[in-house]
Amino acid sequence: MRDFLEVFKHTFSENLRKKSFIISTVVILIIIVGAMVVPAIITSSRNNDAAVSTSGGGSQTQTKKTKGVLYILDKSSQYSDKLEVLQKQFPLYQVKPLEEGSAENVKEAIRKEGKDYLVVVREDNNILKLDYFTQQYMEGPNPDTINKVFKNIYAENLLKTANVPGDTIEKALGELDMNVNALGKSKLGGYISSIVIVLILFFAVYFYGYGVSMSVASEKTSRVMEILVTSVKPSRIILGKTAGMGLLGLLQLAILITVGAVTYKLVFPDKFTIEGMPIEFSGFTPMAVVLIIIYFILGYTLYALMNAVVGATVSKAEDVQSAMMPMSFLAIIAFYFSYGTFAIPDSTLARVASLIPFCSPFSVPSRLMSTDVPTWEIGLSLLILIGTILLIGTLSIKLYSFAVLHYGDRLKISKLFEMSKAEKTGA
Amino acid sequence: MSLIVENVSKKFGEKQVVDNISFEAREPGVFGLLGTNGAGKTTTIRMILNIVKKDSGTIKWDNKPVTGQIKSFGYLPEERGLYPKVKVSEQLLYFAKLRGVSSQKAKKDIENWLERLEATQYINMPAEKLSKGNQQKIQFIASIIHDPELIFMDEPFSGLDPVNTDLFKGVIYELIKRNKIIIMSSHQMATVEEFCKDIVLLKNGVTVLKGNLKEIKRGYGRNNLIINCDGNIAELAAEEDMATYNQSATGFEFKIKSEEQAYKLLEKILSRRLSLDKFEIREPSLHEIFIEKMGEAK
Repeated sequence: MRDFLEVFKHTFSENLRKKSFIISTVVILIIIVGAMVVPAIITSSRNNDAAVSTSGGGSQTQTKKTKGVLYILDKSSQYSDKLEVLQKQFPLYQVKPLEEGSAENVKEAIRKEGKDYLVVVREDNNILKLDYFTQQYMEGPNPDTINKVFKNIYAENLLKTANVPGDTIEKALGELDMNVNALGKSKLGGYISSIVIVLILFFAVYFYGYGVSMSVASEKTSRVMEILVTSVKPSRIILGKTAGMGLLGLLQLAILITVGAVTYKLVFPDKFTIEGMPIEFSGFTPMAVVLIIIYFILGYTLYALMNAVVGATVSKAEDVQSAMMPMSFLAIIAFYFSYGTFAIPDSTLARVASLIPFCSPFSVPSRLMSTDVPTWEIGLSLLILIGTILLIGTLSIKLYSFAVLHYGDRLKISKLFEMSKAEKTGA
Repeated sequence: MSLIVENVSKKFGEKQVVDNISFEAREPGVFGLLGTNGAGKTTTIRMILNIVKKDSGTIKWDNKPVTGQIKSFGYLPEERGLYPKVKVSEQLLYFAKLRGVSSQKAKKDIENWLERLEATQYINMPAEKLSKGNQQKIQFIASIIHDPELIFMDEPFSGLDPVNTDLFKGVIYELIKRNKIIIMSSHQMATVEEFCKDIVLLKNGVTVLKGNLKEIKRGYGRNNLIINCDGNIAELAAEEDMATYNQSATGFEFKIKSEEQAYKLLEKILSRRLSLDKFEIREPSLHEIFIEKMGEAK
């Protein structure tokens, strides 16, 4: 136990101080914060752009520089005295009336320079029609906004002509206050959480597993291994190293998630929604969080133990990459299998993925986000996973002990099995 | 404290790497484990250290069969290994702790040993910045930092300059004085000869010679004659029925059948008034025995 703790402590503190750990943490933090702040800024600027109501977006300040001229060619004369109202509705643009004669010139200018925009209002069989000219889609005032603003003014005119009282007009044209309530576990919202979870788990498992492999390989190539295995049982080394690296992984994950959560709280408004759908965190119940951590630990342990053996088979540091190939394939296949199945989290395929020990660390946590996974499925999947870890662990320790002292060509895993078998029968 | 190796064998696949080797190291001092490259020395050491499983035989330390990793063993492997990017003090501390030394004691001992080996200035440097000789010193300290009772030294002097060789030798003498048993494996016969009381000589895993070095040498008899003098005495020697065994820049070496023969040659040299620097009759050196034994079984 003492030996295990020494290896564990050493692995943890050595890797904690490594430049690569510090840099990767900082870089990922920047990406996370950036990924949250940038969309938030874009969303909030879009919201400013689209501030619309019949009572006029009076709260808008006019201090911003205008983005261009919004020409209005009014053939219906519905808007001749409404230019001020229009200007209020499009505070970012300078609203100007246009004579029919100069329409072609303006269109040409729009086509060439793209700075200005033109709305043509015409009547067709007594029905009002709008033509909107812009150089590119997605530029200038939002067409929906234009439609709404012009419609509201037109409606107001019509209602006034029909002698409808002013307060009734206001009520009729006012926006209805609407709340969207989804009662089921939100599929789309849960889906986003699922993707995030499965990605985080995959990269954490993959990178920290890779770290174990590198660490073992470097001890072997630097020949420190010979001192280590003569001081301490190889099993203590492989387990201590795996645990040390795992704790480091948990620590980094905790830092990233905490910073991510804090940034989210600070950047996004309380009732932030995407098209009326709130971002779904209901999947993150305390139980789910505990399970996610458990699956991370188990998944990591499974892959790390195998990676330790891979690291032990190489004699030269350059060989680690190629030796890791089969492991990487296994991880990526497992990842895509679970990634592909959680779109329909209750399908048979998804259930199968939750039971296969190489996929379940990715599959179960992602399903937890978007559906109710039966307890027995979780229990069975954990049982299989732990059983596999014990099996692979025992095997890994054996192969590791054998591989660490073999120098020369890179050992093929099959060769390693043969040799360790021969070793057993010989003993 | 004693190490007993009895009838130990090891096969790697079809190849018999160590064949029924037996030896004992019961007293403090240096025990020579000798042989050509690939003779099975390292494998033998690894079996004693229990990192390679033996196929058969028994290995006992302190009258108990060796199982697991014994903390009172020290090991200076032939292939040196340090963490390249870790500070000298930190890796020595780690190695010491793995061997069960308390952090406090280890820190003190590390300082003492670095001072003893004149390497104090490297204490906070990563190992990769050190010269080969200095890395060797750190490795040497790593093998003895936990004050082991039995120390395996595989080629302890390779890559060292004469000054550092003497420094290491001083430490080895000190360890012997402190009742440590050292199993030394080396190709440098002159060095081994200086230290070893007992030796085992391996060839392709088979023991070809074993026992007390002095007795072994005595068994060969004083049949080497070395003469350094002016002039070519090869012809004189031929007259006395002595074949020139070796002729170097400084003198001649002959194999003699009796000391009489040698004195007759000496008389002849003196009568011709050749100036004589050296006249020595001696037992063969370990180097010569080694070469002879290795050639013999071919």
